[in-house]
Amino acid sequence: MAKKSSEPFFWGIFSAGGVVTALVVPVHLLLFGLAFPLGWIEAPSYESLRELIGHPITQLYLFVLCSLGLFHWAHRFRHTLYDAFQVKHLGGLVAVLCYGAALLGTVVAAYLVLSIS
Amino acid sequence: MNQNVSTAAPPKAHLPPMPTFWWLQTKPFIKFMAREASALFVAYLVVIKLMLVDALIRGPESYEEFLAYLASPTMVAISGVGLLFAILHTVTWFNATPRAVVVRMGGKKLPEAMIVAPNYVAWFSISAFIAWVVVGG
Repeated sequence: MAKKSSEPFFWGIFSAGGVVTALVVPVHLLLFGLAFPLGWIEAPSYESLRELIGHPITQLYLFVLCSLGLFHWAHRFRHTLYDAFQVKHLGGLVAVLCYGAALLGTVVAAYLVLSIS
Repeated sequence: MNQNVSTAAPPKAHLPPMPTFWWLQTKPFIKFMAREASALFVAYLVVIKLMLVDALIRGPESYEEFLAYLASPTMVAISGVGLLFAILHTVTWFNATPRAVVVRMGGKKLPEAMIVAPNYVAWFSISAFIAWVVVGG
């Protein structure tokens, strides 16, 4: 039973990530994935975006979005692998790979955000 | 002695193996998998965001290159599909909130629509705010 004790923790992060991504991912994909590339809206200038990511609130926002988003993905992807493709016998390995990838991405996000001068 | 009570065969022994693509069998299963797949595009957006920040740190040329990369047909196609899945994630997440949150007012359960609706208001307001900050800010 002790083995199951990490589930509520990861579910909590999954849930928080679910809320944040539900609110902001569509608009980001719409703008940077379609509207700017296809010329529906003119892409912001380098200077204005550079200034925007220079702001501490933007940096905090980007870090939280990236980290929670990745852990949301990791949790859901892990359970999809268990349920849909029935790889429960590889449970430990799958969990380490999924959450490990999310942790690695979080470190990269922290490094990038901190290197914005 | 009761000879009919058997403890020999655990229920597990009677479970037939599931086909790998069991989730393609019925509509609810397909919907379930589509919702699960939305998480892939959440990860896709995070990767794009990190690449954008990296390009901005490197300078104006890298930023222009990254914009051109996002405009390649492959990336536009992935983003288009991703947007559909992202919206699916948003809608299914909002519509599930009454399962997680029960609000009582004056001893009565608040109707589900009253719990779901504010999510959509928040979604549209926050989306408009982000678009305003990114495009016009």
